[in-house]
Amino acid sequence: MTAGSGSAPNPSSTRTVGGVDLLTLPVLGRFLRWRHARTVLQSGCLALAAIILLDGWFGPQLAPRNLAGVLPWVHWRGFVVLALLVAGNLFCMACPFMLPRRIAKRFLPADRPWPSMLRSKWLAIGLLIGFFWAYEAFSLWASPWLTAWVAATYFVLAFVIDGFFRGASFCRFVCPIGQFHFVNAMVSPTEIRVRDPEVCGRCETLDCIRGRYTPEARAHVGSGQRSGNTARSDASDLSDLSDRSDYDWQTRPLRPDAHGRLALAGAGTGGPPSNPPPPPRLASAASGRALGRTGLVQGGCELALYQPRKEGNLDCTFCMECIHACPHDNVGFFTRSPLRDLTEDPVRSGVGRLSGRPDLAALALLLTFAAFLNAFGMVEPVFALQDWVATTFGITTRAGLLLGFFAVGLVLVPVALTLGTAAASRALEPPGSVDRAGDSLTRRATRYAWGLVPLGFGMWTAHYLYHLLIGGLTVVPVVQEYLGDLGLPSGDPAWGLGPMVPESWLFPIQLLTLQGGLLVSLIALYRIARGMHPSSRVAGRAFLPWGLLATLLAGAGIWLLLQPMEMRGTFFV
Amino acid sequence: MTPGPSIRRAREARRIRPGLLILLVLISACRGGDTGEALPGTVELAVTPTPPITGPALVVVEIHDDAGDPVTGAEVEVEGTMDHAGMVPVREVARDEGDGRYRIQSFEFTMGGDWILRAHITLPDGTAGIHETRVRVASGGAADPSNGSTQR
Repeated sequence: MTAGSGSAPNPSSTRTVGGVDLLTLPVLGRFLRWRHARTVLQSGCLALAAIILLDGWFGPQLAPRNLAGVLPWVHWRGFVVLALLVAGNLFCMACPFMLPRRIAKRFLPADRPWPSMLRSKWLAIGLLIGFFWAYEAFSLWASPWLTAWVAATYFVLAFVIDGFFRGASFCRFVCPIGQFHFVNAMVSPTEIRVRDPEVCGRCETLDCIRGRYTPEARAHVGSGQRSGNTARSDASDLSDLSDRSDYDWQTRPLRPDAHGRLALAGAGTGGPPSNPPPPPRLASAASGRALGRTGLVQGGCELALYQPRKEGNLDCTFCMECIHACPHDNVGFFTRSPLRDLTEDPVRSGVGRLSGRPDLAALALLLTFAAFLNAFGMVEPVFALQDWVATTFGITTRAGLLLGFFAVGLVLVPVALTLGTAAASRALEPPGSVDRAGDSLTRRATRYAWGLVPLGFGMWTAHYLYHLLIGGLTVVPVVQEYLGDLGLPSGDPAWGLGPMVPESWLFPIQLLTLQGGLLVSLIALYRIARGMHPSSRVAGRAFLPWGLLATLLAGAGIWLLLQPMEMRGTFFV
Repeated sequence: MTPGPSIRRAREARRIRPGLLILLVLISACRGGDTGEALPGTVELAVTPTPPITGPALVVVEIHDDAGDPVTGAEVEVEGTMDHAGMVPVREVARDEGDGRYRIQSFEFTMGGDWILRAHITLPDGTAGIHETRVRVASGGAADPSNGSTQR
């Protein structure tokens, strides 16, 4: 295979069903299979979100003494990376913003297709950069009031967007937090996938994506009288996919081929049909609402992930709708090695090929480099650099200064480094070893960018775990004070509580996560190179610059960990 | 037809829920800050070295009344906390040195960065209040990997 062949159609699924299915475990499995499990988790998070909103707006505006200062910035971020590291995308599963959204789906039309020009990750990338910038520019960590407003804005956006647009448009195309989860869940040790692909090959109903209906409603759906609103749980995302001409590609039954691998029935060895049949046309929204309320028994995947062709964790919110919808009980919650998700490039339902999605690669690179830039904002040398830049370029405002830092750190440096590395990688390959047709630096960077994700995740983990481990117990006196202020018995606040582990453990733990990320990144980058070159020698040469880039980034991370920490420059810059 | 107990319970819950929400908001609104009463006169808080660096520092609080006379016999406790949540606050009781001066010989700044120093003051007449000062603490000396407080 050559570098340019990453886009060659490959309808076969090489997935092997392995790992432990968590749904079969005695207690955990029973809970996860319970239809209301997600609602219970979301309700708990919604209650916490309500407390954060109220304390942020009405409580003391000293962040360390306000639940809106402690819970989001110390605990939530720490537990997010911990969950991604040892479990999976649990925080999308328990997302509290989705509960009010259910009300929106019930009372608002929810029948508009997401604008085609926004049907990518570019909007979310812009919002992520905006969030990272606002976090620094407005010192969100130091302002419970602003933190509460950010959370409230999230609720409103999720409510409005999903109230008017089909499916989970907010999660898929807008939510910056969700994008963080999606990308870093590539490193997670679990995924939701089918148990037996052959069962899917025999399935005629596709409930995992369309949703399950009463027989009467199914007849209605089958007659082609779909509505825009039913699309929120069944055909909407198929409709979205049809806009990319891959509706049929996504949903045609799979059959084992001669090699025992799954292939599209009737597709031979080719790729998606050139003229796929159009999706079912939609009827009026009004009839759809009526159908949706009366006929829908269980929703399917709202993010257009058709289980038999779903690969990995990208865009998967672990909502478990597919698990509940499958009439054959054929979807499981499996443990896995994350390397395949990062290094292989099959067609992924709802996503396509990673090599054909520069927006996704840009997202991965943004999150990787943001991990380092975010940490850089908390060490002593950043202040000296800020002063130098402000003086040299005559920048007088903090917002402007940060804008410059983010433009350089999150756009210019990642683009220059990855394209430069891609060029070096290509230059090291022997002449003639690469089919230059279709091989561009951008395409190479798009493919290799995923190999850097574990390193970025290692840095995020080192950073966020630091805050959690050094200050996890500070929530105890804050809760005591909160309850005391409300007139409830809580005892004297134990202000001496703070670290969850001895402080001497922190640096080794941080080093371990960063080095672990580097190790996985190096393996992933080499496997990506191997996937592009049949010769191990050529693959090794192509890998070298990428391995060097990952090692240099990790070195920068260690340097950051060794710097004296300074908790932000809020007052004087 | 009389509704069953579960339906009645559900209806009652629906009636109660908005009331609970309003109650929660009102209670939370009562929480407010903890700035105490306004202190008469002037309060000054000084840290040495200036600018402060990580490690022990001398903190002196000077209290004068409206007439400019020093206030002795007050109780002063200084709490230091960072503007980023997740750090254990430092709390030290100041010693009354007379002449309106209250001194903490060794106030430990455990990390570089932005600190908020809050002097909790109770005057002899029982008036209590908080004086707040913000300082930037520089990291002193080379980082010691065995000490997590100076690490990222």
